[in-house]
Amino acid sequence: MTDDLTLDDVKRAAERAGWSLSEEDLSKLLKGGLRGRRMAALARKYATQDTEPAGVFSARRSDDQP
Amino acid sequence: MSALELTIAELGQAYRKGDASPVEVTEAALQRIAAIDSRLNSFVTITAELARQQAKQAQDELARGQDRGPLHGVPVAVKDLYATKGIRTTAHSRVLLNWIPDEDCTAVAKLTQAGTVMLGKLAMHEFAYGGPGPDSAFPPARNPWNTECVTGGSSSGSGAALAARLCFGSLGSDTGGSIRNPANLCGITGIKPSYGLVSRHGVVPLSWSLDHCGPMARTVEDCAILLQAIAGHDPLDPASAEVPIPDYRGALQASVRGLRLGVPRSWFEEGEGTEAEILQAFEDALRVLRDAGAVTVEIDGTVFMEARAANTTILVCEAYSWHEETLRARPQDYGSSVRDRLREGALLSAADYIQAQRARAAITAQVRSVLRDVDAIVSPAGPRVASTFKDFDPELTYKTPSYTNVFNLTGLPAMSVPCGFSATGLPIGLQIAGRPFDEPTVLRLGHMYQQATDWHTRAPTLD
Repeated sequence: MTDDLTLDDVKRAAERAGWSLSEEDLSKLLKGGLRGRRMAALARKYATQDTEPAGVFSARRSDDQP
Repeated sequence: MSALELTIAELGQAYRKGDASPVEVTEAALQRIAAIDSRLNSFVTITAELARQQAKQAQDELARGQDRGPLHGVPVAVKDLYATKGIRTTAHSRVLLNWIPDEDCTAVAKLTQAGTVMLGKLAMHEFAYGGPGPDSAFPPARNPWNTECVTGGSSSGSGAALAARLCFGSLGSDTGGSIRNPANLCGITGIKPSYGLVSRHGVVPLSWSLDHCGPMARTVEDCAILLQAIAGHDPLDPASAEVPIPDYRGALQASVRGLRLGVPRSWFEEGEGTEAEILQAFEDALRVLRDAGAVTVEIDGTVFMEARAANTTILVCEAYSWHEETLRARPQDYGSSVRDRLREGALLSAADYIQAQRARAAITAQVRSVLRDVDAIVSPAGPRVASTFKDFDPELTYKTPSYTNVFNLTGLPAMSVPCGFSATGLPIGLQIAGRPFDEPTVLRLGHMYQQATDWHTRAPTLD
């Protein structure tokens, strides 16, 4: 999941996004992309089956009441 | 003592006693900016004409007995992502270099209503993201305690200008620590309020679900005064909370005796860890809090460590979605640091984003559960003192622990107050976080700490 990103993937993503990137920029983006995917994989560990995200958009919940 | 050394609370008293006037103080601030800001780069736009006009108006109103309250006639400056009517608002980027908004954002409108004097717009990290970029539209702000050092960010100019006594109060924004980091590294005070307490309407976003607007000043009392002016429901901000607004300044007077403070020690003592002199300053701060009657309780730090991954994933995805079209059309108008970071969002998936939001729900539930047993959570505000520009490594920001972003992920109020200095003379900060919308307890603890210590009164030598 985290290490499956290749330079070719990054090139394709850059094309899709409409960017014209040098080889150096693509390499830099690959490094950042791998780091981002590692972070995303770490976050997934906390996404347990019984959690759904809607609650995070509500700043005040009933259990906040003193 | 120069009037510029006064706090907002003291300045208000001086105005009403006739010991100082808004016109004189504003002129002194403008002169100081002209004299020393070329070494700090904290301002990107100085609004001298507007400041003089507002100062004159405040002075006339006060003379007539039309008192707008504790901010009347007080010179302030705001981070350059707050939209200001008729004043260039750049987010420190060439992308917005020529943007002159037609209206004030809600927070600035509220400050103006409170009678403040606008000195200008302050430097920041470009679009509140990345580090102090070498090729952004303006030079990076420098730390007044050592101008070879970074200020922390992204509200970099706010931290520098307050520490250097160039303004009395400021508004910053905080998506992962951007109020608390510069407060910490510049030796001033800053609070990131609960999510939804302060309107984000008219503020250039970085990551909608993590962005918080809040005050920065030299003392907790001044932050309370500023927060009072800007807090409150705003129908123009879809995330704005409809909650009662308490008397923040009044809440400072209550005792902290018996308050339970959670200390998630494993969070900042394990792994990459925290510099020894920061840990020492933190332990000293705990002693002060205990001496005042607070009770410290060890709590598990695991959940705090895990928050960063979800925070970063959400931030990258949301920031990319805001910048997607401009990144395609005008990539050359971004500094390289922020452009590289924004592009990373194109490599994450919708599932990554949703999973991170699910993780956020789980982490938020766990942290709120901790806060059923304690009244506040205390930690160092950061693991390191300010680095030099020469040693600043953007990659290192990913490797260094963050003690701030868990409170963006969970939307909880969190504040940084000065709690010491390193052997090299650089500030160290204490972070105090609390329950949702319980800013009064966070402020009360910080104020008590500042009544018992003098770290917040120290000023860098710049003259």
